Amino acid sequence: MFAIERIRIIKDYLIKDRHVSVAKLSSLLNVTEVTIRRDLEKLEKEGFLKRAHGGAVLNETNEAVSEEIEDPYTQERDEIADTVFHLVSDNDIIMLTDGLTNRQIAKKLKQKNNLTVLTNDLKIALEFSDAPGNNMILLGGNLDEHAVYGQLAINNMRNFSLNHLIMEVDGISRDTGVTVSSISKASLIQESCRAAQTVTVICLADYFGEKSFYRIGDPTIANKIITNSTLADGYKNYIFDLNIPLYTSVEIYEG
Amino acid sequence: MDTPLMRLEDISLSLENFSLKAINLDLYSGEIHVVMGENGSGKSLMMQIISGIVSPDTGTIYINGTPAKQKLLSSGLTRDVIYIRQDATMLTQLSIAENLFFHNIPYRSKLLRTIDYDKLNYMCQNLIDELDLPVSVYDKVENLGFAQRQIIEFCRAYISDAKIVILDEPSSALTQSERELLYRIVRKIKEKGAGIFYITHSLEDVSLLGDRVTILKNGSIMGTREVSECSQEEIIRMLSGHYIKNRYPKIMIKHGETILSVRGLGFQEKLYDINFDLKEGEILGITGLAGSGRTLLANCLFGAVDKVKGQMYLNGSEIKLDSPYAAICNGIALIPENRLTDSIFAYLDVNNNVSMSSLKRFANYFLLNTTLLEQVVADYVSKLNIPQQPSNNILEYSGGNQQKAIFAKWIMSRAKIFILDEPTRGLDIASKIDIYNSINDLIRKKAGIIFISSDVEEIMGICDRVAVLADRTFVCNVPTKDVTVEKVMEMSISREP
Repeated sequence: MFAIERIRIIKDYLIKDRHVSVAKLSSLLNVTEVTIRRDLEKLEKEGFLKRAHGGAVLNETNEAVSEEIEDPYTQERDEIADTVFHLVSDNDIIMLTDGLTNRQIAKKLKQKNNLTVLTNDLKIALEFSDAPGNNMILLGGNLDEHAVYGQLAINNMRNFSLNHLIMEVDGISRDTGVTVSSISKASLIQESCRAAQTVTVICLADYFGEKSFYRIGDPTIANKIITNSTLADGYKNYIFDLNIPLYTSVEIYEG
Repeated sequence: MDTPLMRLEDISLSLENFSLKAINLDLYSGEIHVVMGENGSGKSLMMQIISGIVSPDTGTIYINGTPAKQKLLSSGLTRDVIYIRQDATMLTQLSIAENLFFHNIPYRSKLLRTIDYDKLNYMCQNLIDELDLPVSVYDKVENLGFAQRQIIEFCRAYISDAKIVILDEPSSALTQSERELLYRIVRKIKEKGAGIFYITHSLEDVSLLGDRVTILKNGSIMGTREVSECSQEEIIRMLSGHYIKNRYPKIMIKHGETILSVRGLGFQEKLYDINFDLKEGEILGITGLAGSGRTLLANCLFGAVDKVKGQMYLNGSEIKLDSPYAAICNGIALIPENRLTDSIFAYLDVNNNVSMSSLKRFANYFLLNTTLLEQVVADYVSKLNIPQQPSNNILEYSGGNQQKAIFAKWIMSRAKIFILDEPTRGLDIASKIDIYNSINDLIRKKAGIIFISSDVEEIMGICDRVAVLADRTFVCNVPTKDVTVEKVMEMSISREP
């Protein structure tokens, strides 16, 4: 039994039950209480939990933890972000459209060097504020929640030429193609597509087969499609037949 | 020319993962018709249809211009068609003479069924003299080498009265002199007026022997040409056909330290002087034709065969692998080509199959913590999208899911070097995609992959380097971005015997 596996099981348990006792974990994982205490200490340092007498409770005030509780797809988005990290090279000029997964991606891409990142998402821009090795350009436009859209943003966009567009979408389906939930988002993405050499479409597996209101185009606008590992087999066949590489972000090996 | 001896018209057959599409082919008497195509292109299936072992879904086979009933082909007509396969089917306890004349044994007394050995051996000696074979009448087949057995098989085709002779990759395992003997026999069969379908991967066979050549790819015929009017380049171009390289999910990984170095690896007469390095996060593709020793090389690297020559270095220090156990202890995993016989424990359930290589982690003195084991296995099973029914027998799962379970087994053992021998052959597309993406996960976390495949397109799509095995050694080892599919195909075709 390896530490990584133990920590994962403890985390899952805590997210489900919010609190746990040392004795319970020790019998569940079949290791001594001393080992469990050490694991809990480690997780406390990460801010994931608070140790209490004979056990631990989930630290719900921690931002990462509360995100994980609110957004059921945190882990999936994280896996997707790991894959995208390996598809972007240093020195690339990329665009990240607004979306929760793209925010996770931004967190990973911070570690790159000399990246130029365009975005219309304020939170993504904020992520890069403490990454001085990279170049962040925030588009201007009409603010709607955490992102900007509209004619201003599109005009802004026209000044740039991109290596790589990473767009997060709200649905991919056989009949309607790639779709998003607002017309202003759709037109901004369509404009960005024209400026990009490579187009990567990010979509959670559960959103395949979903139809949102506004259509961006056929799935073939994508040079790559990235999703998480629970994608239904039917869509794997469909996308392979369209000759688009499909990345399912399997996260399994503990190297 | 006159009516063909045999003509296939619009033959189609669909199997689970493969189909032959509208095959049109003919064979004239006294003709050597060479059939080429990469592994899995449908050559053998087509020959099975011709010899009546398998019936097609649609289409007609004409023999001498009259449609042959499939039933006839598989019973009465088999005397007209003789199919010599790669795996020699002989009675090993009997002599050469007895084997050759098995269907035509001379009797001293018909009633008592006593065999006239003098006559039998005389007939056989005549044949041996006629063909100048390097064997004796009295040799038992079990004492013969593989190549000699094959030669005897070819003689069976020669003495039979079959009008249509099918030879399935007859030259692949032969040396130069044996090959010349084969050519002599094949030409004699031709002189008798029989038509010959000759399956091969060797361009040399085509130019020395063939009258016409037909190229198959993915179950369709790419074209049929007169050998005299057709250049080698044209044949190679037809063999490689139209390739799509960009549909494989490849990720860019910075390669780390060299984890495995192989120097001067050799095995018997079959492999010699194989050198390569494998780095962390690298995928090395190995391709080559059937019989080029791909699987043998995998077994050598995994310690599954004895007396391997050469040195292997793991992280810079030399290791000796005298058993698969030693390889596993050193973090080397092998996913063998033949799933059913070499990979799975058919009578165990998925849990036990998946955890087989990592049982130590669940051991508590002499007992296994099965609750924990089940939990961890369920985790791996769900991450690899294997439909969850963990108590079921592994045989009840589809091929794709079995292969994914085998993958899970080695991933769970946390091996560092994965040797994958044809990991995606015969799988459905969805399982293939799962396997490619799992490989991406492995290299992201610094494992090294040796990816053996006969599908050149797949190799070019997902590997960083490609090595081609031909003539018993690597004829190249280059980054995939520096070569084309056509070039790799060309190199894999044997130049010397």
